[in-house]
Amino acid sequence: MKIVLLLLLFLISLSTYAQKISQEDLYQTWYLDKYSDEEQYYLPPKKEMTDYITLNTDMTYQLVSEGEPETGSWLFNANGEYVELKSKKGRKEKFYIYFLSSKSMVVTYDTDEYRIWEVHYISSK
Amino acid sequence: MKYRLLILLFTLTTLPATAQEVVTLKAIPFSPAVSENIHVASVSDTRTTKRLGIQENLTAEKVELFLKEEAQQAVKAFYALSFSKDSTSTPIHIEIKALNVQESKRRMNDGIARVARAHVSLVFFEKQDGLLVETFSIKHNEDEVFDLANRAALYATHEKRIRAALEYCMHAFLNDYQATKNDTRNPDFQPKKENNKIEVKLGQWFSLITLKGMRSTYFEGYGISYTGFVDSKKGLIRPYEASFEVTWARRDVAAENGYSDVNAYVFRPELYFFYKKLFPGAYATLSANVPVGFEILENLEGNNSVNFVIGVGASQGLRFIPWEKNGLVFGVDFFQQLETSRIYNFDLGVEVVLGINF
Repeated sequence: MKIVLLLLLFLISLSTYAQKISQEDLYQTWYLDKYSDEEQYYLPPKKEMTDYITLNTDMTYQLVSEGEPETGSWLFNANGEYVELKSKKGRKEKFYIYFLSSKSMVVTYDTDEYRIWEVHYISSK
Repeated sequence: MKYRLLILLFTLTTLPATAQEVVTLKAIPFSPAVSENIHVASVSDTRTTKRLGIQENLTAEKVELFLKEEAQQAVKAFYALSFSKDSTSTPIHIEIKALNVQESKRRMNDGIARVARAHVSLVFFEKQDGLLVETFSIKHNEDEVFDLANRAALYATHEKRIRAALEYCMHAFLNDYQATKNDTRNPDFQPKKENNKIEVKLGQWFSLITLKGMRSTYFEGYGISYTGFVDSKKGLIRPYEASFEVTWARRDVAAENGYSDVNAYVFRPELYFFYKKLFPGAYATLSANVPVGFEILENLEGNNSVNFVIGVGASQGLRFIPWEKNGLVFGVDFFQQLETSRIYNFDLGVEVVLGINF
């Protein structure tokens, strides 16, 4: 009986566990590693192999997406657990952070086309 | 007197009871991207309706949502977590002009998604010579998209989006404050109004089930459709639609082609489909679609054969939805199509539509 209770407590604590995102971990260069959906992982297509995003401490960013460079400013919303990128051309893009450590980051972009994918970044290649 | 009491009692008992639910903001501080020494000295709430909104809870009951401790205190306490008052910090005053939560649906890729919003409109003031002077204002929509089946997650996160919206507004204020704080006493100073023209309300989601009767040069038939769309006054509306049709060749047409009977069963996925609101309750429709299915042909000897059909179609029409919540829908469409039918290659006709919105 005790074991069952302990197991229950363990499961409850797992389900209520919410990772606190530390803004300090964001300040670095994130290299695109892979995509995933509910079933499996996928390697990025060839044109995205060199994609990365650098989030600087002065709240500017540089990124390469499908080989195209872009710069702008970024913002971390701790309560919404997302990063908003605002490009120099004024285009806004948002990604929700599901997991963040100093080594890896898992996000979902807030655009219909990419909403079904989790995007995995790593901090060194 | 007795009658009045009775009427009053009757009115009270027949009023729809809406339960109330209190939303407590979690205490999560945030770090501003620019470091400015401010604190929020006061928050006023000038909303005419103090509730956050009326939403259906997970047991499909209508619930009136309120912030715990009234909005002005909840918002002040929320900002106090991140900006503490000291002898050198500049006091900032905030007016809440709008703060609400909303829910709707919208088309996403090839399906339907749920969408939730926390809408906030805040005005920031500074005290100058004893008077409050507006220095910045912002309207912000904190929108989040959910899977159609995941309403529980949507309902559980209204509170989170309110916090995220409040945080967003403060980041925007601080960015502006850093650039303009020395100019606010300048007589030419114009306070920035950020996102002043955004849509403050999520469009209403309409669900229609309609039956249609069709008649064309070669065919007659009927169909059933589900249509879902988000209402919008401006621009083109992109509905989601799934429809199925059963048609049969008109008797003389079948005979001319050497058949006694021709029946077709067709799905009609939309390639492009638009509604344009003409005035409340009336929409113009335009579609390009791909009819795909099969026809069963019975020749004069009574032998059956099956033919796969695919084609391209177009239609132009009108829809009338006089009742916004629930009610009748009716309309008319003119259609044209090219198809791999054994009876025709090109066909045109008209369909009359009747159904309900719910």
